[in-house]
Amino acid sequence: MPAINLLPKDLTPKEGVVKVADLIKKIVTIGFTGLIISLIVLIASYFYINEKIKEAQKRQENIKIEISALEQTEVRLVLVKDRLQKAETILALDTAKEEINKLDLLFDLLPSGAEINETTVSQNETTLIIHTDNSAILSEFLAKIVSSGIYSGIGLISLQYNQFAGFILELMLSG
Amino acid sequence: MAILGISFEKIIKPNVRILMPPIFLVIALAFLGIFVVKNGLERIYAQLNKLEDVEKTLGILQEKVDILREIQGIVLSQADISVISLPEKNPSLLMLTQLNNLAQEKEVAIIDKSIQVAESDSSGIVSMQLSLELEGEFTNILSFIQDIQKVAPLSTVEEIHIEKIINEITSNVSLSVFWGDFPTRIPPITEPIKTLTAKEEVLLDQLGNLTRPELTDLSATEPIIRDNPFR
Repeated sequence: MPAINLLPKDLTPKEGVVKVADLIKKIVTIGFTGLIISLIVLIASYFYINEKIKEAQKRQENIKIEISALEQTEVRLVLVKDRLQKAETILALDTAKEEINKLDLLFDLLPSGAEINETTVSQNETTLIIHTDNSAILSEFLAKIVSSGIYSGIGLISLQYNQFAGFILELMLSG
Repeated sequence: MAILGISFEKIIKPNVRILMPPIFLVIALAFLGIFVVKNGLERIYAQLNKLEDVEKTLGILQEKVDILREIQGIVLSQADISVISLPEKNPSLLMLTQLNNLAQEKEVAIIDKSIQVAESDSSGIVSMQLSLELEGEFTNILSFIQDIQKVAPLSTVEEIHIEKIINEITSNVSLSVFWGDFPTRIPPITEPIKTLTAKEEVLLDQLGNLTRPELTDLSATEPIIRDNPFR
């Protein structure tokens, strides 16, 4: 027996629209299911990560206790670094060290018959007063000083000759 | 249902009416989805960031504890070397003892010595000026002056004057001797530890080669019964 629809045609929706409505309902059902699954995954992830954080924090606390036990070692390390930093600053200061070492080299160049009467060594320069009786020795010393290359600047302050004292040479050395 | 005498069924056509519930559901799903996913992901990202921070700190702490365990055995001697080279308090007496020993070794006589007011700079280094008047052979004096900078505590020679008067050689030496306050705080526990750099190791070796002052530790002795000297 054929189905009889007693409703007026303008009160029933079209078959295509009914299908679309059904399709949307299915999509919504799938969507809700997906949403619930996502929600479960998100909640699970949240708690999983939370547990990991708690575990890491617990490990952190244990390590902090260990570090506290090694505090003396850390204090010493900080002290060593501080001292070294200050020592580096001190050693970088402009001092007469280089000039004194040069004076030592210069002393080796001094020919016999010549002697240092006076010398002043400061941070950047050395003044030197040499005494000798012989002009040849004086020339030899000057030639040695120039050829040695110990000083880049060699200035003659004075050269005196005295019948009794001999030659007195005053030099300003730098560089 | 009727509005102003017109039935709802007549206003909304059946095609629209059948589509309304699913469309409402789609809208609800969309809103709910956006709300859940947005909030959920935000919280997850916040937790992940927190975990990353905690793990990072944990890494720093682990590295720190490993380094501290490793250097535990050597840092004491390093601290000794550095503190002897640059003490906390004015080392003038220690330096004078060192200079006397050195003078004896180099056969130089210290005729006079004077100490001038201490000066401090912004980096926490304090220095005092020490002036010496020496007598001896030229080479000995020069060798003495050169070796001053090879003894601990750290000092620098600022100026020297050597003069020969008749047959006597005298010298005036002015040098600076240094010290500095100890650091008062250690870095926060979560800050990465800074070990010695290669440059600092070299400097520490250099300081280790300085001649140390000979310090004597007096050991404690048991009290003894003394005889009464007035008996």
